[in-house]
Amino acid sequence: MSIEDTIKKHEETGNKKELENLREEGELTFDSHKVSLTEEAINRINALKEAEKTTSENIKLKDSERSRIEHLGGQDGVIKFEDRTKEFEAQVEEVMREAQSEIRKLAGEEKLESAEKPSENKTLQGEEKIKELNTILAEKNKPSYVETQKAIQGQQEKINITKGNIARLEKEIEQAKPFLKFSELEQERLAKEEGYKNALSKKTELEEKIKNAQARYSGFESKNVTLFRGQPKPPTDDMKAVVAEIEGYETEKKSFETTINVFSEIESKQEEMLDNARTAGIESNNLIYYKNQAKGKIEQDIMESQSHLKTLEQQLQNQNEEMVNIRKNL
Amino acid sequence: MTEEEKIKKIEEIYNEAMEKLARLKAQRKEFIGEYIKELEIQKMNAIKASVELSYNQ
Repeated sequence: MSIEDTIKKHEETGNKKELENLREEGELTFDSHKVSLTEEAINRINALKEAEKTTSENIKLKDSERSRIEHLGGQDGVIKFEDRTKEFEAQVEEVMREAQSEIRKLAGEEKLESAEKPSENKTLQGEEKIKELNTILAEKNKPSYVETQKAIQGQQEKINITKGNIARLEKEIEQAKPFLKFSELEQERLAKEEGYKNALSKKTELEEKIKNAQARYSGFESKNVTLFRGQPKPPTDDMKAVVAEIEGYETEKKSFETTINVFSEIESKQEEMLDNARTAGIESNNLIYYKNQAKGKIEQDIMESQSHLKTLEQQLQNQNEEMVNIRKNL
Repeated sequence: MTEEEKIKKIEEIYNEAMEKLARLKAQRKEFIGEYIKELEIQKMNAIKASVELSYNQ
C-alpha cells in the first residue's frame, strides 16, 4: 500500500494517532498534502510578481542592442525603440494586474489580505488542516508548512531559471558551431585577399595590353589589304608577332582569372552560410559578432560556454538535492 | 464553485498569464530583430546614395 493510500485510510477512519506517527517518521511528504486555496493564490500571485519583474528587466534595451541601434540609427533610433519598450512594459503590467485581480477575486480579498500581513500568525486562518500540521511541526522545531512551501517555490523558481540558462547556452553553442566553418573560410579569404587584389589589377593591366595589341593588329591589317591572286594577303610577320603577343597575354590572364574565381567562390560560400544563418533565425547582431570573430575566438567561446554549461548542470543538480532536503525536513 | 475548482481556475489564470508574457517576450524579440534590419537597410541605402553622389560628381 502506498503512503498516499495509507494516509487516506487513516483519514477516513479518523486515526489521528497513526497520522501523527507517519508525520513523525518523516514519511508524510509535501505532495501528500492538499494546498489550500489561499496558499495557492498567494503562491501564484508571488510567482506572477516575480515573472513580471524578470520580464520587465528582459524587455529593456540590452547594451549590445543599444550600441548597435545607436550605431545604425543614432540617438533617435534608440529613443524610438525605448518608446516601443514602454508599450511592451505597459502590456506586461496589464497582463499581470488582470491575472492577480482575477486570482484575488477567486480566493477572496479578505482572506488573502490577512494571510499576506506579516504581523499576523503565519498559519492561515480558517485552514484547520494546515494549522494542525504547523503545530506538529512547531513542536518538532521545524519550519512551518507555509515557510517550507515558500522555500520549495523559491527553489523551484531557481531550478527553472537554471534550466532556462542551460537551454539558452546550449542554443548559443549550436548557433556558434556553423560559424567555425565560416571563420576558417574567413581566414582563407583574408590570406588570399592580397593575391586577389593583385590578380584583379594584373587582369585589368593585361586587358589594356590586349586592347592595345588588337589596335596595332588592326593597323597592320589595314595596310595589308591588297589582294594576292584574288585572296587576302597572308599576315605579315608584324601581324603574326602581335597575334603571338595577344595569345601570351590571354594565357597569363587566365591564370589570374583562376585566382579571382577561387576568391569569389570563398565569398559566395560565406554569403550562403550567412543566408542560411539568417533563415535559421540567428539575429543580425549575432551574425556580425560571429562574422568578426576569428576561428580561435569562436572555439574559445564554445569551450567557455561548455564549461559554463557544466557549472550550470552541477548547480542544477545541487538545487535538486537541496529541494529533496527541504521536502525531507517537512 | 468548490475550493478545488477554484484552485484549478487559479492555475489556469496563472498559466494563461505566463503564456501571454511569453508571447510578449517573443514579440519584443521579433520587433528588435526587424527594427535593426530596417536600420541596416536605411544605413546601406544612405551609403549607396552617398557613393553614387560622389561618383556622379
